[in-house]
Amino acid sequence: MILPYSIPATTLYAATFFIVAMLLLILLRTRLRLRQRRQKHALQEQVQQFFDEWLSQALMGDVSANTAFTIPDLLQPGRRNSFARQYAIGQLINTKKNLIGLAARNIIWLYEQMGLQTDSIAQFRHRKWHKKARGIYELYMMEQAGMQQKINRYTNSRNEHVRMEAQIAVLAFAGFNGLHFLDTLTRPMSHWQQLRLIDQLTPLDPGNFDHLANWLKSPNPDVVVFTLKLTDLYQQLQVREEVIACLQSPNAGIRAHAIRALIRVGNEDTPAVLVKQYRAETTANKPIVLQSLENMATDRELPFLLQLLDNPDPAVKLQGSRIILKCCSNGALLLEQRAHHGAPVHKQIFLHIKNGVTV
Amino acid sequence: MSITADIVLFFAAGLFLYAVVLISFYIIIAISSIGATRRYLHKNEYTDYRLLASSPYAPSVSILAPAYNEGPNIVENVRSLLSLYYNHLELVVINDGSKDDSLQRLIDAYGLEKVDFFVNSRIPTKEVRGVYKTRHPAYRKLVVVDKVNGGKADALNVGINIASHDYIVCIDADCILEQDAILKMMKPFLEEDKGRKVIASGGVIRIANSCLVKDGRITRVSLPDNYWARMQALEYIRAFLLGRMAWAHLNGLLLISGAFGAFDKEIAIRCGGYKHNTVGEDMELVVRMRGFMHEMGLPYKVTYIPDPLCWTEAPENTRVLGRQRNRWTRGTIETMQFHRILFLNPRYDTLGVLSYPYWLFFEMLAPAIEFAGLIFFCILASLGLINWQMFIAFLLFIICFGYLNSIFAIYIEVATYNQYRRRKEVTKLVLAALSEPFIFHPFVVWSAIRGYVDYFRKSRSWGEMTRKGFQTANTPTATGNQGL
Repeated sequence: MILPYSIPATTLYAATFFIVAMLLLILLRTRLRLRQRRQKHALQEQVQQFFDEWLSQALMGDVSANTAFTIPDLLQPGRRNSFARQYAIGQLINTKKNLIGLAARNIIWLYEQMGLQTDSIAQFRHRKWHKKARGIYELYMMEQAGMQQKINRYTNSRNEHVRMEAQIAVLAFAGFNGLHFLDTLTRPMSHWQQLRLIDQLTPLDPGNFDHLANWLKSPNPDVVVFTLKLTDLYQQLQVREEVIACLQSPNAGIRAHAIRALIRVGNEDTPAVLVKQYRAETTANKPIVLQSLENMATDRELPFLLQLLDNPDPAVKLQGSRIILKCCSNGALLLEQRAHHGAPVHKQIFLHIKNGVTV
Repeated sequence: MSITADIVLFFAAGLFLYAVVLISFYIIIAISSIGATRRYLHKNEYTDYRLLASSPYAPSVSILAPAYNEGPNIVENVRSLLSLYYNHLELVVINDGSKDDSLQRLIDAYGLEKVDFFVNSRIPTKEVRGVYKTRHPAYRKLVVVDKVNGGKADALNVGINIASHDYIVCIDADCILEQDAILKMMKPFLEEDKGRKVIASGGVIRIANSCLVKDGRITRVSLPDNYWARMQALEYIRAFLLGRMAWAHLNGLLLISGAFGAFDKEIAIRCGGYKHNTVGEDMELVVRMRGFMHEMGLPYKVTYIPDPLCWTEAPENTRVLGRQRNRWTRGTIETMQFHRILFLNPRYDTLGVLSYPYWLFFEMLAPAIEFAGLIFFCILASLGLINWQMFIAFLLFIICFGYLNSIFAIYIEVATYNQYRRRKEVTKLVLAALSEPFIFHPFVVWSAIRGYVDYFRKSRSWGEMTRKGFQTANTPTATGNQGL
């Protein structure tokens, strides 16, 4: 066993010396970092100045192949200017995000004139995942449709970030047709990714939804959940039966999204389906069923809703009361009677929902 | 003589082993945090968080802000919280039986009216006296709850009962949040991987002393002028950028600061909410939620965001700082005591075999061991049993290692978020690090020892947290307030 005094003092001094050397190295590196930051900041200001001048002239006008353009020295292609060029790409992307039409096209023109797409392609070809993902991001943001085929291959990439950017890219290039990657997607798709995909589709006119029914039967649960979100958002009534079939899925997440989607694609029989589903659902999904019923229940569901008022859980009582008030023809009267003759909790709940407290 | 020698050997070997393991942990934490921070930065390099602000699929969030005697600043603090950038948001301010005019100020400022509100008390709490809402459309997200005083944990539990959204973000009412704080905080909840549900997420807390505040926002970041606050700035950088980042990476994070943390509401309720009988309710809830998920056999994760999202005022004198550290020590002891079943229990994976033992030995027991070591040293010195050459060699080694750890944390800060941009500030931070072993550290250890004493005396005091107030753009110093 090593004991403190079995270590020679010289070894300790040597270790201390090593630590001090490390410490000095880190201090030096810190100082260098600070200096680099200042230099980069100065460079950024120069690039920004160039853009400010150029953009103010070119954004509103039509630029074309005939427009004279000279790349400033600090943005000339080459390793020496890689930071400035990368910064320039970032600035162009940020500017383009806020523009449409001619102004946006001018930004792309500038990107191409400066040969920045070669930098983005180099990033895309890089073996490091974050560079590859960034390259894909730059290429689709700058509408480099020629790269679509190459990027397509990464929509099922093992790396989640590369995969995510590639999926967004195919939607950016091909719109709703790009959703075909769902046919072969075997890897997970996080809720964040789904949210980004939906955001990418939002400005487009609703397109090709022929494959929805197939995707709702996908062995990949994330594909099913994403498709249910699309079904809901774009109110795809033609897949109502497939959505109802999803209620039988062993995956609670799929069932939850199917229940939500039925609010928009359900018909007059759906409330009865949901009532039946309620009895079979998990504790976590039961409130979602009730939320859906709040939008579609009718007097036919009243016996079931009245049962909810007798549930020992006050949250269920509250949700049940809210549905009765909103959906049943004499709901307010029924609840008022309960409030007067039932337990005090019924009165509190009645006052709560009568005053329209939404929480 | 041989018994004395055996005792000396036992203590010396024990302390040596302890130091070796602790240093090893520090090295692992430092290395682990580099990878985790780099990955986070790469991952979010060009993330557009604005998507979350407006998406119908963004998680819904209730911010819970307990307030006790926050009268002078309450209206401005609430205004600042209402301006946070997030759509599916509700702000629940819980007036925990304030003795001042906090509630009346809120009623007047936001046109609040008492409403008939059914409170579903899934977590038992002290009586709720009333719930207030406003008809003003600009403040429709605001819910103010007036309750009988019951402490911070009780106030937060009322907030959980009242909250209508799926996630809760618990904050101190006197903290300043970055505009995109909620967006950044909620993103990890959408990024479940390998089916592991995110049950809680923490964010970096930064020290706002000497920073310039305008309209409830930090407009200029500065290193605190006050020595004690500056030391805490360094301490927070080290703890948040190295420690918590690394523990989150290992999925072993036990503490999410009470000043700013997000939780899955349903899990928090199923665990019974915040415990009343501890002053470390923030840590205790995280440990309990983790234990619960293990017991249920549900895969989960506790995440952590290294972005500076929340700014708080640090104590600027030894009296208040001492009370704070005393309370933190008692909170840690209580949490460790409540959850002792976790200790080296393989059923709880990383939580049982790594996180809990680390916190027990190197967070909770560290001041006690250090103090015992000092006494042991004094005894040996008085008996003439110290090999002074070895002592100096060890002392130099350990002090230099401490410096290395702090300087490395400063480097990570400069290389990542670089909040202190001026070279002069970084130099001041380095000088603060150099003084730490001689001034700040002994004081913190002494405060922790007093925390031990108070724990064994069964003291339940929170300790008054007197604050000076943020430096505003209009006035050099704001009016004082008293936080929870």
